[in-house]
Amino acid sequence: MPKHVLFLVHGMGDTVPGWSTPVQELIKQKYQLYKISKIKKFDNNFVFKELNYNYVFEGHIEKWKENASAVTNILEASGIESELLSTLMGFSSKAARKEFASTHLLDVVLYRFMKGIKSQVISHISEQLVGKLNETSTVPTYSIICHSLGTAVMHDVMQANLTTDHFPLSTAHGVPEVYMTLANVSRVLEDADTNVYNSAVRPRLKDKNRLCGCNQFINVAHKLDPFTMVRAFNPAWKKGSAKPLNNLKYDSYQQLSISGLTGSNPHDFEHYLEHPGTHVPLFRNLISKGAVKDTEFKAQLDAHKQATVGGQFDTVKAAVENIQLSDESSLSSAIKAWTDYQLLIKSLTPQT
Amino acid sequence: MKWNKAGFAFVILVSCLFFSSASQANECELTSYREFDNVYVTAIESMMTPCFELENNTTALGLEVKDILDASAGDDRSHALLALSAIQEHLRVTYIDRVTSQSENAVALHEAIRILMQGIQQNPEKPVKGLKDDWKFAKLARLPDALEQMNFAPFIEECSISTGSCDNEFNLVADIVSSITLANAAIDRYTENYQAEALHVRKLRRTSWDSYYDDLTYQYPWELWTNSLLLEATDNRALVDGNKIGFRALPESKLVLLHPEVNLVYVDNADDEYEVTVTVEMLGYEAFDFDSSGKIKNPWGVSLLAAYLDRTDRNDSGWTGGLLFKYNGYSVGVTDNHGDAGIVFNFNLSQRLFEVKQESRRYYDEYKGNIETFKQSLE
Repeated sequence: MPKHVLFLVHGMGDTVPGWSTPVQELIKQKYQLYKISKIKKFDNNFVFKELNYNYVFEGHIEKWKENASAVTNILEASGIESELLSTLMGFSSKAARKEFASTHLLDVVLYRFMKGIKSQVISHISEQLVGKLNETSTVPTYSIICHSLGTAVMHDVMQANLTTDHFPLSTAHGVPEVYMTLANVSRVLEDADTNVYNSAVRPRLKDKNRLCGCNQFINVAHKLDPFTMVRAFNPAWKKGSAKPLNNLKYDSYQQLSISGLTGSNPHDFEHYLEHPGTHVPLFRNLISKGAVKDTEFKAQLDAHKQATVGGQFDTVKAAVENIQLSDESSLSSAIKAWTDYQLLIKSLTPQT
Repeated sequence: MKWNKAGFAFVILVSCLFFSSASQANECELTSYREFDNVYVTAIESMMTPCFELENNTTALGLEVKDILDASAGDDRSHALLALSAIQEHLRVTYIDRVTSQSENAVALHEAIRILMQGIQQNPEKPVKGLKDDWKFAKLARLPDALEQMNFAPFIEECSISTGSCDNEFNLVADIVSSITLANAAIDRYTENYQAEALHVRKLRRTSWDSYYDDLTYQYPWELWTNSLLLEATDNRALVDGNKIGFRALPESKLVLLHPEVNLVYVDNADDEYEVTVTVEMLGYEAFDFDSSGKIKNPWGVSLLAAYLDRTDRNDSGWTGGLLFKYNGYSVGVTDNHGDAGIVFNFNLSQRLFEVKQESRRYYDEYKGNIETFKQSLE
């Protein structure tokens, strides 16, 4: 029997293949904290597969830089001065300008506004997803854990896959078992083609005539994460959520909120998973409600709370509290605030 | 302690050995499950499943399903339908025709299998390229619903207080889980035909999108924006509940807008036969197909051109207009060259048509790196 595949999907950032190794190690390390790890061994039952799309954005941005400089050099050498060309070249350089590019918010802009690039990213991830599901003779049970921009990307990938030809569907494996979104920005990146609350990527709901895109949908937002402040993902699915009769699992949709800082970046993928309020629901939904006892959960919550005491991250807290974003803020004001935030986090992070 | 852990572990151990003589300990972990309590018992269903996979399942029903699925006569579709019928029959005889604590679960499972069979009967025997009806096919993914709705409460309750009914309840639950696992195996056998095709169409689609960006004239940001609008305008996917269905169709054309390039202009009475110049495609149109590997083929296009002609033998250098024609990576343009017709070539075409002279070669060498970079985006 193939192991349960856990797909990890990154958010915006300078990710390269292998990016998920620390995330994998963290999840395994957290799993070891609970008694279930002695009974159901992680490596015997689960296997990680990472998905990558950052290189698609990098390819476009690099091309602009290279070609813009090639033409600019020729222009200078030829002594041609053209305001038109200079403006165009300047815009191209600006798009790839180092500081802005370093925040990777350009990825968000490209994904939201450039339909071709969005389709290219979706086609890359879709191929990776199906390719990795095909690595075993029968399609394995699988779950998806996605973060930040990855929540929007995976939504669009699954919406396309679930409503099109040749998705490797089978009775138990057609849809993800657990679909976990951390710092979900899929709603803020909705366009005219997308309505994330009404798409195929929904948990089982009471309305049996509606397609379900996953069995368990868990959405986690950190209270200090500025990326979840605008058009926050908070569907009314809880009311329509299918309640399991067998009491083994939770409701099909779980909206979770976490708080407390154990690192300098509340938006960080690992910072989310570090929190027992994230990883315990993950383990419980992957296995069963009883996989982590309430007493174990409480002990880890207390330990986490202790680790956050001390206020060593006051700068971050103050910066986030000063961010003037609300659920109704525009995407452009959000991108400006997120850029400032990313630069602040970058300045606080020791450079290697 | 309200119930006897050792006794329960023994039941599980014996049952697993019975059901799963070929199972591997690291997958079918019930054999080592010796620390049950009234919390961990809820994990039983997920831990039981590996014990009843087709390759491990030695129950009568398991062997029957295996025989059906491995039969040489018939195809995977008919095998899946026959196997599912056998599972339905087992559920009917064992649970539906007589009352047990698992009868309610069996009815739910029987109904889920009926829906699955209906889905298979409505779908073609083999994968069809570009199948348009898979929106319905997606609804086959329903068995997890049935599993989630299983009510194992009698088993949990009985085993939590360790009564004599625990053994019986365990066996009933094990049989239901076994039936679900076998149904999954049957449907897997049918859908596995789709796996290779599913990956193939996705590879093609990805290759085509990459080729769209890599093998055509590369797009500056403002062109990406323009072509994004074009893609939006030509997107005819159905909108259901605010969401477009399926993948965006591959583009068949694109626009070129205010696109600067480095080109060569032919000058027949100068020392060199051509000079480097900067051209701007003010507005252009490119059309193309995709070959069987997903790559762009036969791209062609036409653009309104502005070229900067810097003639060394004249003193009225400046911008001039014309038309640029493109085919398969080669471009040739006609411009007004101060009263004469000027011919503009892209780098590829110039190298094919002309001998590169010493002075021009030096000039090219000086910018070789830049031109090469630029060329890569044009080729």
